[in-house]
Amino acid sequence: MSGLPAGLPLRFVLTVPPVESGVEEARHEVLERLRSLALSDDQQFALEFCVHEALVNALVHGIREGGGSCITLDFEADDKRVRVSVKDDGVGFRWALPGLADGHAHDKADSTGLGHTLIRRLMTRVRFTTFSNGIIMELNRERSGQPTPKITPSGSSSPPGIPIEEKKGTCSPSGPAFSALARDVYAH
Amino acid sequence: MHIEKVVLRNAVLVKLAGRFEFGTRNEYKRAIGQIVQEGHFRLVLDLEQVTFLDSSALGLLLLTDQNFKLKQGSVGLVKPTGYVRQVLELANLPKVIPVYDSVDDAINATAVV
Repeated sequence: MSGLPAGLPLRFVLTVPPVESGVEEARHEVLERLRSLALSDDQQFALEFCVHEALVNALVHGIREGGGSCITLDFEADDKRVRVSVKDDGVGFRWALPGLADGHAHDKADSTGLGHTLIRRLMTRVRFTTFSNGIIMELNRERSGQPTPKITPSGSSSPPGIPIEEKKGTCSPSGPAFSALARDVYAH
Repeated sequence: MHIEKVVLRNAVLVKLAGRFEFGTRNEYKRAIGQIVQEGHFRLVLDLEQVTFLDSSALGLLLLTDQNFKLKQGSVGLVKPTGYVRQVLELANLPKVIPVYDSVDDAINATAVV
């Protein structure tokens, strides 16, 4: 397992080999971590589904169609919310679409596919980023009616005290198996 | 994903089991392609044993329905359960492809189309 404290908050970063097996192993890794959180069945399903969709989108549109070579997943959870960002270095979304091209994160996107539609329905908040060609998905763990906490921009540092586990894999499809990658744990 | 095919009256029943998703899309494509090649255009997909279904699978279901309708055929879904049913409903798929409670209901409805 991770070597992280049993309690929250939790943060880990995965570099995912850009092949189907890499995406599958990353999904399993996230599932394993989700089990350590006291999520409802609905929350667990929503996160499993949306992480799967985001990873597949990155593989298909960012890597295969967009010419990218690397997928990164950043998972962060505390007792109020779970936030997952998935980004790649490919061309990705069609940024020329109205509302997507001004270089900022957005809450709205059109014509980005069925997967994105379902993600927006299952998550509390979804943003797309141009600067990292990624998606940021946030699920509120609090009861409905309570305010959604502000989340920090993609790429920002974690609040002090949150341990980060980072699995630095290779972006090469022929790189080592995801499960065999070196693991570094450090306090941020 | 496990796929089992049974020819029944005027329709082909395909029982899917396991994860119907991006990683298993080619298994589904091969099975449906074979059915089309054999000249069947009335299809009943039993989803009762499907444990996970993603947007790739939804897209394939819509494509199958579209292709079968072009051949004056039809597609029906049977007994999606749990979160599989929820995903279908979130995508409004039952408005396009009918969902039945039993294989018999689907076969009967499919046969009279």
